[in-house]
Amino acid sequence: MKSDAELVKVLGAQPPASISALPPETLARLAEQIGAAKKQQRADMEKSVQEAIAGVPFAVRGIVRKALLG
Amino acid sequence: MSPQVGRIARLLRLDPSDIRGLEGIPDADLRAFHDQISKTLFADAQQRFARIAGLSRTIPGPLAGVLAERFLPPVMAARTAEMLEPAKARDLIGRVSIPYLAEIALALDPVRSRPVVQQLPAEPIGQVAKELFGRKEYATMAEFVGTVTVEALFAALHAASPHDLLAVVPLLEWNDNLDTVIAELPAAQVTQIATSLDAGELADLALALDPSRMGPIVAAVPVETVAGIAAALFERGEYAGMARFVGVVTPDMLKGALAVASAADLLAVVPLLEWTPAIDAVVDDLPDGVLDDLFAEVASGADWEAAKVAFERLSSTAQERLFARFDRLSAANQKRIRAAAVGGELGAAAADLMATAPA
Repeated sequence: MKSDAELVKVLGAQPPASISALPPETLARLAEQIGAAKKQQRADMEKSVQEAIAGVPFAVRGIVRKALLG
Repeated sequence: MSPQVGRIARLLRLDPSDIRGLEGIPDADLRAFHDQISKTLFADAQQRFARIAGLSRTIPGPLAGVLAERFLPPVMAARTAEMLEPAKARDLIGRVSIPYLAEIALALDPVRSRPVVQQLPAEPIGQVAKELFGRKEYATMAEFVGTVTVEALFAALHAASPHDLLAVVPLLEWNDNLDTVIAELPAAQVTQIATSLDAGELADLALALDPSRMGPIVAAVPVETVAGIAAALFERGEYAGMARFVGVVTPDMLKGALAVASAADLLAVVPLLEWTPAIDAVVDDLPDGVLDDLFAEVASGADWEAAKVAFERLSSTAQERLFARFDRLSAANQKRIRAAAVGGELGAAAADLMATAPA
């Protein structure tokens, strides 16, 4: 397995060659940090969405809910 | 550390020191990597950001501003802002706080956000710039030089203190807008830069700016400070950097600068100068002691090629003055100079003058 495989997977793209050439432990740490940020980002987004829906004035709650939840 | 590492850290909500191992990666690759991370982080939410941007069409502006600041974290607001209709963005920018806008600016992509940012009024951009200068976010700000309009750039740089300018100028990628803004900095701001920065700081600025851009600032620098700037540049061996400024300094400034040069400095810088009658006048006026030191430096350095270039730059007056003081050299140095001059290593004029020099 190529040492940048995990990073490619979490990134969904091939990083620049100079990054792919970094030592395996650096690539693994970057992949882990990006993966963690993705999880955190999703969680924050859901929290923001729920707070927004609960917090907006009733008159616009419907359209906000529709925009945020699709 | 590259500013791009700071951007990546901000995106991952980490401290820059947590991003290790990227030293030596070219900035262009780090920028591409940053964009890849941004894409993957927000890939799932693109549709949602587009719908939030669409909300701005249906919710009244004042309410949209309040809701955004209360519920939309800046990083997400930045992704949404990139999708806003420019007219809506123009309306919303006045409805949220400057610190919130500053956070959004830090998370914006300079390229993707350009169509929106170009439509924003200059005044709030100037206020955001002031906030970001206050936070010393110079690297991020520098990335937006190509994104904003010339009016916004004016507003942003107007908000900069002299020390802010000193920090941000070396990071800027120059374009026509920036040239226009620097050339038309208000006189009061130019004077403030010239008088607030110390000689060492002005030397840093001189190295970062093209002389034609630095010209108005140079003109406002007190003559006595010029000697300090020159001393700082001589000490760093920045001869080429100094030589570029000959065309924009006054004869008095030139005199002040050359007065602090050692003989070795003079030998190094003279061949690099674009020679003018003004330089001749200043060099012709150098004190005898400086000429003695210069002659001794030539003799002991024995770099005849460099000495020949420097010597031939001098006016006949200066050349004659130099050889008229030949007998002030030590016996050993007289021997060296005589051998070099007679041998033609210092050029034809030196060979002729050697014949008339006092023994």
